[in-house]
Amino acid sequence: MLKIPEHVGIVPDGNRRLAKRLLKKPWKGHEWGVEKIKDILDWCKELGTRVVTVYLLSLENLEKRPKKELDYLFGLARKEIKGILTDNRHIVHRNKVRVRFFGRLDLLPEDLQKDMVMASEKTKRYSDYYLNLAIAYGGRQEIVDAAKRMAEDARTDRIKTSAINEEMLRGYFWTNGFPDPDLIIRTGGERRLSNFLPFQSTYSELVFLDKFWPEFEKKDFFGAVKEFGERDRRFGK
Amino acid sequence: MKNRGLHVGIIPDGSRRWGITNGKPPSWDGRESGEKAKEMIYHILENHPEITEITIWAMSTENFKRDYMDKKRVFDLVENLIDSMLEDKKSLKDRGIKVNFFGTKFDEVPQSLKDAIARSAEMNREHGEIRLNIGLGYGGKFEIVMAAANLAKKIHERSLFKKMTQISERMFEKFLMVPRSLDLIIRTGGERRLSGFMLYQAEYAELFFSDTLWPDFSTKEFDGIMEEFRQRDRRFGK
Repeated sequence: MLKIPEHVGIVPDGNRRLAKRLLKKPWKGHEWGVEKIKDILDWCKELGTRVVTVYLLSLENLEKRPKKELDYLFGLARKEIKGILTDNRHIVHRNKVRVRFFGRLDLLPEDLQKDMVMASEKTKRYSDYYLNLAIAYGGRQEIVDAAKRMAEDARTDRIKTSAINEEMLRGYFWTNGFPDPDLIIRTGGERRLSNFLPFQSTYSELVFLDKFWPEFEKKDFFGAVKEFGERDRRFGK
Repeated sequence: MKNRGLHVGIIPDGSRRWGITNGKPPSWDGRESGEKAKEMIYHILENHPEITEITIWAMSTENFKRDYMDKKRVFDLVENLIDSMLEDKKSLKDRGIKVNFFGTKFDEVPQSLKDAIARSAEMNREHGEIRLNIGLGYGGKFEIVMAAANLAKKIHERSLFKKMTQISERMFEKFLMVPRSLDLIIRTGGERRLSGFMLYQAEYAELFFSDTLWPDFSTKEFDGIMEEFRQRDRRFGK
């Protein structure tokens, strides 16, 4: 029997390179990338994978990418969120997907922040599937931010330093309450995690694919899951 | 800007399976695994000047839950590795090495290994060009939680900082066991996961997974990996 991952993490790399190859402006690839994320939601439903976490934008991306590209991405996000808010046949409603955003959201344009809050609110009652979107995210920053706030609570005696353990620290994470990914798929050929859920990916199986994200097909997804199923997860023992 | 060289991380997995497939008894002392580690370290020292730091994960915090024979094997091979390197101290003199043991279970390690670790300081050159970190009873999550706890303690004791805004990534990193970022991680033994190895330090590390079981890992394969590393396009988010 095929072992199905409860939670899949995705690093959807390669949008720009595919666009360049097809002689389009690099960020046109992001438009295709968004559509692919919606496909994933259907494939997960078919498979039984309930949680997907997608690495949309890192803090490094936010810092280093050209303004034009970022504006384009924000535009795509606004458009998609508008769909979630106004179209009852949007896939998140059809599949009953709760959408959540995490990262340094405060660094994003204010109107987009408001949109994200509304989209989260609108899908809050769904519990069949979860789509977590990492935006302005960095694993190190998540850890340090958590350590800071925990230290502040120690300073004000809200917590006892002797009680500090993994569970307590995780309580301060932006991803608090999210399960750890069983499987992380990275498209685009690179073999690195790029600061995606470093703490939470401790026992995640990693599958790397050379295909660019917009080229990712259902058979690739199912292939990665099959590979996951064949692996021997020892959790350090 | 001064070129600091590369920091390579090694997860030397597969020794137990190697022992089984090579008909080793349960009492096998892990000799071949230790010799392989020494071979790799010397190979890097002699042939890879671009590498200035090596971190080898000898034993995880979870490994400490394994049965006695498995643990003893690792303790013995690390002790043998240290003694073997001390014997060859002279051959290290060209580049100079600085050995550092890190982890959290030092109190649970047998006395003979504790003594060997203390002795290992003899090979440390004042201006050792290459740093060798050996993780014993190390786990990335544990390292992070401990760093966060120690930070919180210092703040609670008022011995550090008045403003939370002063805490930066750089500050937090001072509480880690190995503060330097990794450029690449090599995991032998076929598994495709990181198991929490240097999770913070592995931020933009290039990952290399080899199916070869650790005692069979060759310097040729290592060189092939370094060549592939040179070809990779490291964008750091750009």
